[in-house]
Amino acid sequence: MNTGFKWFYAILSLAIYLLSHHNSTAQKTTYDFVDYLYTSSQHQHLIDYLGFIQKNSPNTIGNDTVNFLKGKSYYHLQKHKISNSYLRQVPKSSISFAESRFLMNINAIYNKDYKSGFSILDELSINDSVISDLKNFELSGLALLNRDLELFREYNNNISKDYYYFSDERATFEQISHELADRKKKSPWVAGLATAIIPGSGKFYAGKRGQGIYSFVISTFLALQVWESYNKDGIQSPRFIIYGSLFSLFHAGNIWSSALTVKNYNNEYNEAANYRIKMDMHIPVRAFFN
Amino acid sequence: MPFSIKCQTPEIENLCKSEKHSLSLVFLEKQIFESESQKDRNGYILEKAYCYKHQNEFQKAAETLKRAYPAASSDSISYLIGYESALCNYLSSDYSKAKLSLIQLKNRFPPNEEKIQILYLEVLIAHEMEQWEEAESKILRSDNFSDNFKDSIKTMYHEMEAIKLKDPAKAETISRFIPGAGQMYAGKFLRGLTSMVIQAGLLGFAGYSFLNGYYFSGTFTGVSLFYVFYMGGARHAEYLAIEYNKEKIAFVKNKIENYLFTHIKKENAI
Repeated sequence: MNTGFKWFYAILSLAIYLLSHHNSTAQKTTYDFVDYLYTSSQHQHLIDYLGFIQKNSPNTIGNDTVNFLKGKSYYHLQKHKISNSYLRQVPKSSISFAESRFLMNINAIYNKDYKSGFSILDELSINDSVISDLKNFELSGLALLNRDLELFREYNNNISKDYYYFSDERATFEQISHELADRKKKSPWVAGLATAIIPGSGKFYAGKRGQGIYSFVISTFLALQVWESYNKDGIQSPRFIIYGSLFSLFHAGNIWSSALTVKNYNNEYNEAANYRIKMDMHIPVRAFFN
Repeated sequence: MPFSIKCQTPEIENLCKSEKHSLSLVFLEKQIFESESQKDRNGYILEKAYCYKHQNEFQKAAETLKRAYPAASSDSISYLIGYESALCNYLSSDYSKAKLSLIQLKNRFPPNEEKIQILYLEVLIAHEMEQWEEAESKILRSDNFSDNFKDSIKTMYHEMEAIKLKDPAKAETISRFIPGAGQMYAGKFLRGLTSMVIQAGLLGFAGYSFLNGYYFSGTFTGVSLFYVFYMGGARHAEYLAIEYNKEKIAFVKNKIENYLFTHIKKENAI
């Protein structure tokens, strides 16, 4: 009994010693500080600190955690390319794998890379139905960014449940898909031709009414002066040549600028639509993982 | 403004000295995080602000100092927090915040303990806010300057008062009556003359065209272009008057500040 008590006492003392001298206190402080930097959005500090830890005491925090945290911090700092270079290193076995892949997709779309998201999200296994639905939702967004409406419908139909964190965004996607389907694309050729016949009408067609009226008025003023100089001095007079050249230059410039206006109009429309899609792809990922 | 970083932790001081500022900032943040009292935290916050200031990141330095609670520290640290906050706001061109920080600092300390640096900063902030009378009265009311210095400063502020500023609205109006005259009034004679000649030429062209039966050319080239130059010229005259005023004020302001800085350097040398 006495020997048993001695053994018990020795083991208890050893346990107390090990507990008090174990470096968990130091680890906890490191983790706590990392957590503090992350929650207080001091992302650059977090990146610098993790870099220091990796260099000086590499075993304090696991490599996967460091890569994930660095990737996520760069994502918050909107440095999308560097962020993906770290997130890519998060292995499948990591608890943060799913989040890293969704964030990689977000980084890619903000880098105007609308293709690689398909292969990035393909890496995700579909064991969890919620993750699977979020994945299908993101893929439907990617399909919209690529203007592939059939693919959008396919992924959209694959979503099994309308979760609260993406139900509004899903409705917006459907609305955008209808808008894209109904939209008649404007042609720069039509705009150029219209302006060649009636000055300024191409800009009117491109939706820039003010510019169209302005071009029409200036062209009319110049044309009247050309007509006047032709009428009074004839075709070979310097006055006719000067005004004729001015009118021709202005008219040619007008045709060119009408075609450009339509091109810009199409670009602006696409940019605005893409902005909405990107935002709606981004919000559910943030809501789900936060 | 000269200053030095004196850290409580030698490791961080070494990082600062070896230009590893980003790491020193992280470790200072770690010290802030691990501090058990607000007093210690204030000390590290001040060091972090110095570190940002050393890298010319004045706005970040001012934001860092906002996290301090000066009442928890000794008078000397509390003073430094308030003063550096005002100075960093001034250096980051946020003059109203700088003024507010100074008011808060002065409220914490009795007037007899007020330091000369506060006065210098007050004057500089008043200059940036174009409050010349306030700046002058602060220097004249202070006991820290000799009578000679005060007399010289007084003369300079009188020079500031004596500047005949150009009225931008007047410049615009003059140009509307006599094209080009507004630019001349704003001190740019050649620009005014060029504008006058161009507009006279366009009016001449319009008149000549009308007399010879070129009504469309007269209207759309002569009159239209004249109108464009006429309206643009008037706006330009207004802009030139504003620029003229800025230039004149900046000249005297720099003169006063250079004189003040020379005095500060002499004082520091003593």
